[in-house]
Formats: sequence, C-alpha cells, structure tokens
Amino acid sequence: MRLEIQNLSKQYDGKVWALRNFTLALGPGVLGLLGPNGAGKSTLMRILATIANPTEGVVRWNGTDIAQQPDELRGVLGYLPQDFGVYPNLNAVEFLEYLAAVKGIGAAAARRRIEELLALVNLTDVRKRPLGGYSGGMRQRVGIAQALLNDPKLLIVDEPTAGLDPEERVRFRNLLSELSGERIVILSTHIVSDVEATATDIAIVSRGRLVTHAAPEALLAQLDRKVWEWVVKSEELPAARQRFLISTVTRRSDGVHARVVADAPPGTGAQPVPPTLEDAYLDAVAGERRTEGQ
Amino acid sequence: MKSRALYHIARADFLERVRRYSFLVTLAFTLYAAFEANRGNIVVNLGHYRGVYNSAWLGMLLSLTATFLITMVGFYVIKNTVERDQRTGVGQILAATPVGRLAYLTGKALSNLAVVGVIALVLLCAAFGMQLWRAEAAGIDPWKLVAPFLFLTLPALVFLSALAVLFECVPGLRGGFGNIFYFFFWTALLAAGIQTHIGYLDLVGVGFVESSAKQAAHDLPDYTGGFTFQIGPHGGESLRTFVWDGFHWSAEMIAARLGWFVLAFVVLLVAAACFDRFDPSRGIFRRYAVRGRQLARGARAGLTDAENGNGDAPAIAAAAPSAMHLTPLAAGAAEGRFAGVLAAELRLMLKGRSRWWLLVALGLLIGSFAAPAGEARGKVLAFAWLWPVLVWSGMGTRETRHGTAPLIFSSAGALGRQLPAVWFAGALLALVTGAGAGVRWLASGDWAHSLAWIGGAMFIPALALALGVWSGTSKLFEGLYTAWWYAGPVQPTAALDFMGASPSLSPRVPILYCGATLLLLCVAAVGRRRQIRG
Ligand SMILES: Nc1ncnc2c1ncn2[C@@H]1O[C@H](COP(=O)(O)OP(=O)(O)OP(=O)(O)O)[C@@H](O)[C@H]1O
Ligand SMILES: [Mg+2]
Repeated sequence: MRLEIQNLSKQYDGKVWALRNFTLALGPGVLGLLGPNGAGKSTLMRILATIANPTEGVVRWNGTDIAQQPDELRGVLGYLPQDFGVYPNLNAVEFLEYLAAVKGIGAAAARRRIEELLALVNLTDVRKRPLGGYSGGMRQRVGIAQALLNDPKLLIVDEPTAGLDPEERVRFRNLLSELSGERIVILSTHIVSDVEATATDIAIVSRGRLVTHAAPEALLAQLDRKVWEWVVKSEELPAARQRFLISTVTRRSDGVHARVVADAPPGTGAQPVPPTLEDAYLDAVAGERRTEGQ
Repeated sequence: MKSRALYHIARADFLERVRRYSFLVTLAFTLYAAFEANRGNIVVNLGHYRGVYNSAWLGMLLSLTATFLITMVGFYVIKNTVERDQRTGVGQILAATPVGRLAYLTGKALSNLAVVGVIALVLLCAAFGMQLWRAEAAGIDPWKLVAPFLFLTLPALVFLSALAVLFECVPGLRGGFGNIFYFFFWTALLAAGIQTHIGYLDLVGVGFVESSAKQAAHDLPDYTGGFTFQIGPHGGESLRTFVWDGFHWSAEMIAARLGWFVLAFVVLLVAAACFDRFDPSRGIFRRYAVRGRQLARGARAGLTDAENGNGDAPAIAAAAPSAMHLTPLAAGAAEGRFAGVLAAELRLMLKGRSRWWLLVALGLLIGSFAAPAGEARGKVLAFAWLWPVLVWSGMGTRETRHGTAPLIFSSAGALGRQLPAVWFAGALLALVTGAGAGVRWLASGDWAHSLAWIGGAMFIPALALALGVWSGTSKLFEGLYTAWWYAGPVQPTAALDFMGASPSLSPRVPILYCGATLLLLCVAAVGRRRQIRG
C-alpha cells in the first residue's frame, strides 16, 4: 500500500498557485497535515480524492496514476471534505444507505456496517431524524461515518474535528488510532493536539510547499534546547516579539513568561524547556516565511 | 445611508451573477435571438405586410422580442437571488445587519432588473445594428429606437424583477411548483393582453403593438386585418412592406405602462411581508414552512433533545476504544451493484413526495388507461407526464444543490454506475406513471404510439439529466419542459410531440427522440465527467 505524490502543482484560474512542487511518499499510518489557512491542504486532499486535477505532477496509488485510472483508488477511498452538504429530507440511515449504494456496497453488508458506524459516531439515537434537523457537529459526524463506509484503504479527512464538541473530538481521535492499522490516513487540522494524539507522521505545508515531513519525535528532537522560557517585563514584550518567535505568553506576578523558539538563549535568565509540537509547527512556518522573504 | 445599502446589495448581487458562466450562456442566447431576428425569423406581420425596417419598426420589433422572451425565460434566469444568499450563507450575515426587509428585497429586485436590463440593452443595440445591416431605411431616429424599450420593455422588466423576488419569498412558489406555475401565469397574462385589449393587463405589450400597427395598416390595399408576432421560421412567403412611423404615445398608454411600476412596488411590499429574513420560523408562512424550518432550527433541536434526556448521547460520548467494532467487509463487497444504486436513486427521487402526490399520479395512470384511444388518451398521458416534472427536474442537480458532490464524485461508481442509475430511475418513473396509455397502445398493437411512448419515457429523464448536470439548477428543465410540453404534446405540434400524444403520428418523430436521448445522455456524461474531474 503506497501513495506517491510527485511534483504536484495546482494553479487556480491561471493565477493562484495553491500547490507547488509537492512531493511526498506515504505508507500505512496517520499523516497529520498542518499548515496555515490557505496553505493548500484542502487542495492537496481534493487532488488525492480524485475530485480535482493537478496542473502538474502525478499521484500514484500502488503504482497507478490516479488521474489516469481514478476508479482504482476510488474503490478504496474514504473522503471527508472540509465543506459538504447532506440531503436534508433523508435521515442518517437513508443517507448512508444511499452513499453505500453509490460506493457499490451490497445491501446486507451496508446495513450492518451503517448500524455499527452510527454507533461509532454516536448518532444511533437520532438516526431516524431528517438530516436537515442536525446540528453542525452532528452533520460532521455523518460525514465521518460516510467516509468509513467502504472500509477505505486510503482515508482522507479534511478538518474532521471542526465543530465537534470536546468529547466527540476525543472519540474521533480514538477512532482514528483504532483505524490506522493497515491503511493510510491523511488528516488535516488546525488543532495541534489532534495531530499529537494520532499522527505517526507530520507534514507541514505552507504557501503550497512542503516545509517538513517527519515523525513527531524527529520534529521535537530538532527543537531540543531551542525552546526557552524567558521572563520579560510587560513593556518589553512588543520589542521581544519583533526579535524572536514567541509561541505563547503567560502573565504572572513576576512578569510575562514568554515561550521563545530560538537557537541561542534570547536573554539573560532564559531557561530551556521541552519543545511541543506547537513550537515545532510555528518554527517551521516562520522559517518558511523567512526563506520566502529573502 | 439606506440608498447606499440598497445600491450595494444590488451591486454585489449583480456582480456575483454576471461573473457566472451561466450569464455568458444567457448573453449567447440573446445574441442568437438577435441573429435570428436579423435573418427574418422573428417577425411581426400584418396579413401580407410587414413594416419597412426603419428605426420605428425595428425598435418595436426588438422591444417586443425582448419583452416577450425576457418575461418568459428571463424570469427563470433571475429567480435565484434570495436563494443564493440562503445557500451561500451570506443571508445569515445580512440578516444580522440593520438592513430592513424591504430594502434588502428592493436591492435584490434592482439586481434582477440590472440583469434583464443588460439583456434588453443587447437587443436594443441589435435593433440599431439591424437597421444598418438591412439598410431598408436610411436615417436613424434614436428616439424611435429607444422609446418602445422605455415604454414597453422597461415597465415589464421592473414588474418581472419584483415578481421574481416575490416568488422567492413565498414558500409555495419558491421551488419547482412556482417555476411551473409562472409559465402558466405568463401564458394567461399574454392571452389576457391579446384578447381583452385592456392595456393594464397587457404586460408584454402585444396589444399596444397590434392596435398601433393595425391603425397604420388600415388603408393598405388588400389588408384584411391580420396581426401575428412570430418567433421561429415562417412559411417563406415574401411579404409586402409598408412604412410605419412609430407609436403615438398617448397619456392613456403611458398611464397603463406606469401601472406596472406601481404594481411592482405593491409586489415588493407583499414580498417583504412574506420574507422570513432567512429564519424560517419568522415569515408569515411559518406554520406551513415545515421543511425549511427543520433546516434552520436543526442545531437547536438537536441540543434540546439531548438536554431533555431524550438522547443520552453526550453522557456516553467518550466511549472506550474497545467498544469500537467494525465488521470487515467481505471481499468483493464493493463489486458493481447497479441494482443497489438504482433502488437508492429511486428512493431518493421519491423521498418526500406526499401521499397526495402519489394519489394524483395514480389517478392520472388510471385515467390514461381508461381514456379512449385517440386524442383523449394522448391528453391524459400528457398530464400524467407533467405531474412528475419536479421529480425529474432534480436529476443531475441534487449533488450540486445539496453539496454532496464531493462525497459522491469521489466514489468509484460516480460516472459508470450512479449517473446511469439516475437516468434509469427517471425512465422507470416515466414508464410507471405513463403506464396506463402505454399498456393500451402496446396491447392494441399501435406500434407508432408505443414507440413514441417508450421514446418519451427515455427522452424526458435524459433531457432532465443533461440540463441538470450542465446548468446545476432544476429551473432550466422545469421552465423548458413545461413550455415544450405545452407547445408539443398539448397543442399538439407533431415535431415537438416527444411522447406520442398526437392522434396521428409518423414513426420518424419517435426515432428522432430516441436519437436525441442518446445524444443527451452523452452530453450529461461529458458534463458529469467534467464535474468529477474538478
Ligand atoms: N476554487 C478555488 N479557486 C481559486 N483559488 C482557490 C480555490 N480553492 C482554493 N484556492 C486557493 O488555493 C490556496 C489553497 O487553498 P486550500 O483550500 O487548499 O487551503 P487550506 O490549506 O485547506 O486552507 P484552510 O486551512 O483555510 O482550509 C488558497 O490561496 C486559496 O485561495
Ligand atoms: Mg482547507
């Protein structure tokens, strides 16, 4: 099971480059896709889900070009788009039955699977209510269920936890970890803790380019002894922000405790602290901006 | 302050529309109409006469064409402005601003007017161009070219713009039923204008043209009093010409035209009273708008249910991972199962049809079975196949309309399985609803009609699918099909009769429609392929 993305570029309307020379190879596991708004995450996922064509480059699923033979991949694909709709007059079961049929799953198998999926996303109690009456988070869970209908080998979920309440988010993370065995999962999100909990691999995207692709541990290792806790006076904070990359600040009685990502101690009294993925993410994106600026 | 808001509502809406691909298509059709007019396929005849193509005559001819076509087709082009705000969610944002309902809807009506105004303007330019091209009369008189557009077309467009907004604000008229209803409303208005000679009823202004032109032609040799306004190829007889020097605008005529402005304002007021401001629980029709309400209040309903303890969902939310179990799908479960998709599409298609709907369909089915052969049977079949039009019109558009496109288009069978299943489901619906007539024709060995019946059952869903896929809206099919239905099977006009409603029938016609079916299916497949490949 292998997904190869080679030199992928996508240009919208002959103007905006949403992706540029994007290259990545994936095996089984959960890939967390991180990046600022507009980085090109959804664009990448739409191309992988075969509903958008790249301007340049190829994507190979087990060796076959998905632009040439999309059905090869579609049969084993589960996709949860960032934006999607539902048929408001159908209930959850009917809607999933419909999609199961479209995906080519037999009636009996579909029925059992749907019951299980609804239990999994915790919608069993409301499964007979029209989807038009669902809340945003409930609808999102229907989206999650449909992505799992055909037992996908490639599962692409674009901001799956958007709109979920904290409990449901935990549930979904657990679900992802459970699922990850013999399949490739690609997950985009802005919630770093989601990635932290589930991802075996992290790719950071910025302005359409791949900034880093590494295991979370490796990303953290890169920042070893590069994150500092530094106490500054309130009035000095703006100046410090100008000079350093500050990930978080906490105000305490002795001043402002700033978390600084820097190669050397930012000032006197700065103490090294263990890095988090959030630090790594901010560092990578800021680094990309710097090189772009030059 | 208020006029600024009004202007910007209209402006943003107008820009959003003219930047859409569909606006280009509309313009292309307009240019095509102008081209046909120039070829002499849109004419006003007075017996064996037509006017010399001078400014007065061309201004009148193209203004009449503009008014006629825009009031008929343009309605469907502009009737989507409030809906778009609803669908894009912009409406929610606007609803949270201080803009009042009347101001909002007036802005929308102005945007409507701007869109149809552009179309009319194109035809005005065409009138000018035609005078130069045909060169039958020298001396361009700008006033005579423009005046009919000002007095005949503009009031009709103003009224139309307001009416389209009203249709969008009244729950029953908002959807497909409104689209069908409008066609008959328009036909009735047109007939009223022509037959009653009451100026205030004459939206299109045919009556004005008729009486004005007839007066001028009164003294021509062998003029016996005929008047026709014809769109489409005519018999090819060569017409004699006479010089018409234009309308003599009387105060009475102008008052009748100004009446439409007043009516437009009244229509807007009614629309504002009906408008729910994107909150279906607020409009005056709230008790009837059950479906819409489910949509908007869903979030709240979901919460209260859980809070009331009706659902104990949140309590067990973070269930332990061990509780998760998914039966692996048997190998080969994902093999192509056309029947499954077909059944699913059929269910989706018929979902939400009321018992009354089924009852009427059944009545028409029995009626067409019981009707005697000949004209009566054809007529009942025609109605049996008008009844499901709203079911067919959803074909090919559901995915775009409800935003399920990314879900469906990313599955393996989207093109090879789901699209054919949609068509097949539509064809099955046609075969079942039209079975009464079909069975009788088959049983009596009336092969020409049987063929036409089967051809019709295949053609209707193919047309719906192709139009739906390419236009992304159900309106196009609803409007076109109803007009076609009226012109073809009901009249009946042999060449346009796609279902065999005419008593006498040449087998050439059904064969033609079978060919058209194939072509439309290819068109639909190409369109869907394009949609899938983003
Ligand atoms: N349909 C489109 N037409 C034109 N430009 C687009 C379109 N879709 C995306 N873009 C552009 O492509 C770039 C990448 O967009 P994309 O949706 O992939 O970002 P994203 O990483 O998913 O962002 P977010 O985190 O906000 O979801 C953006 O600059 C965006 O403006
Ligand atoms: Mg995105």
